Amino acid sequence: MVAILSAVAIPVGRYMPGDGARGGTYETDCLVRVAAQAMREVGVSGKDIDSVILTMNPPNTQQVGFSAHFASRLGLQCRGQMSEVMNLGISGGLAFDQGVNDILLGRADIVLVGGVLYQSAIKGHVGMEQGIRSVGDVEFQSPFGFTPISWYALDAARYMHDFDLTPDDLAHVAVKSRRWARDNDVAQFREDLTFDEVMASDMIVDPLRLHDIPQRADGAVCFLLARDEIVADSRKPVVRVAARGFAHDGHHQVGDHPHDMTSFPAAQQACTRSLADWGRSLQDIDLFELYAPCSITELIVMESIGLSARGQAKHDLLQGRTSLGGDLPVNSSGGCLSRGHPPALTPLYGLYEIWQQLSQQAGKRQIQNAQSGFHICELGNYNAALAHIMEVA
Amino acid sequence: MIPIIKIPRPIPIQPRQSAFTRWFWDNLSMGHFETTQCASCERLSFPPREICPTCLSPDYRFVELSGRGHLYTRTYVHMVPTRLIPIAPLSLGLVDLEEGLRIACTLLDRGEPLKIDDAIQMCCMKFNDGVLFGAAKGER
Repeated sequence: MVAILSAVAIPVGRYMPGDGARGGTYETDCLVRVAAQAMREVGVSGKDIDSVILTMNPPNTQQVGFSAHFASRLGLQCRGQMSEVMNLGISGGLAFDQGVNDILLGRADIVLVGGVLYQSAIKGHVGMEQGIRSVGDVEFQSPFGFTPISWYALDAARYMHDFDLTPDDLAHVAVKSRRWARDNDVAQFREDLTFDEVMASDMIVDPLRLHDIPQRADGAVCFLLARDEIVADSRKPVVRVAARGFAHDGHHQVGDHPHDMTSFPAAQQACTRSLADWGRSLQDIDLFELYAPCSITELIVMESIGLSARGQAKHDLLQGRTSLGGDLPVNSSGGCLSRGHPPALTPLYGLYEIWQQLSQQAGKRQIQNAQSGFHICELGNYNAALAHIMEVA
Repeated sequence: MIPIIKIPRPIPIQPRQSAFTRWFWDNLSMGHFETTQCASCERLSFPPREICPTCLSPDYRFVELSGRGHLYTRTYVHMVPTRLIPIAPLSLGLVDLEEGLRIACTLLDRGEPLKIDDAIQMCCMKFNDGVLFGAAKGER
């Protein structure tokens, strides 16, 4: 099996130098520092790494051919592969998955998986020009202005129509997320956030307010993966990749024939497949990192994977079951709303949280005796979903 | 035929038109809301598709839609792309047509905002320099 040899992440935040700025730290320098730290921690040198799989940088990154440039900076000479992976928000999960595959296929003993994303200096309206092309048919949907968040807002409006859910309930997702993030060193927002502050914040995409959605953010993450027996020689506990599952509902944002938008079938199927691969049940999992860019998304994913009954996720939230000390810890990192959401890297930050929890490095937000963690990431309106189950060997 | 509503300003984002989809846009400008139906398995698609996504047949015909349906869900987008700032907030929604198609488009809220489950009538929005489709309140 494949395990995590080392993992390093910088706090999600704003690092991207603005236009004309001098003296900033650019993408390659940032990721090289993170990777070098991950390698030093376990005494791995450039010649030990067989594959490099990075998330692909966005079009605003000046350095093209990024993985080759990056590899040259660390003296890597790969025998497995050297590549950049991209499929919107699920990119980090796919890069991780590809790293696992290289080891299982015998192409690599040690794989470096990671990425850096700079986008925070791009003004919101300008970023939306790219956003509407990413999440819709450029001929038949983009001209209307369907932004990435607008699709989740459409989910939210219908969910509120069909179930007993109000904007007040959604605000509690943001407050819960911030409580977790207060004790997370890599979180973008760690200061207190109250219910009243959430409700007083600007409406961005009705019914979602500023604190119901993620803010623009940069980040960098690096994992070293290896076979678990190699990892066992370096560190304890061994945190390994126990199972995975993938599914795609066949839609690009929305199907052209009516379907229910208050649940995510791809999330349900990816979860079911990962559990079948693991041979155990959801009840055996100790923590859940759910890719949820908006407050509503967290609730719908909880229900889609079977963590909560239909229409009941808000009750589990309001009863504190998903908070620290609860029996269903969800997004102990603070999630996209507070840990932060550099989209392509969000899956890697989610897996990083599970690694921290399972290796007992989560400090004040440590979930006691956590032995297994579930991670799921997505693209579109959860049209595709990729689940990983991690466990202590 | 669907209603044609004149909007006396330039179109904010001109939709790209391919050799295949020009038929749709040209007919829309005359009040005909059409899409493709697979000549083999009869599946309706929207947007119009040259190849049937169900049976992969390349044989299709354009058929006219009633434009009648109901509103499945809706939103107002306040944070918008640069080109749409002058018309923000955007009123957008998903319409389920009688023919069993789901369509994403602008909502033409005139007076009362459209509500989920309201009856909808698709319209041609005729700008100074192009057309888009939209949804207005319909009759039950």
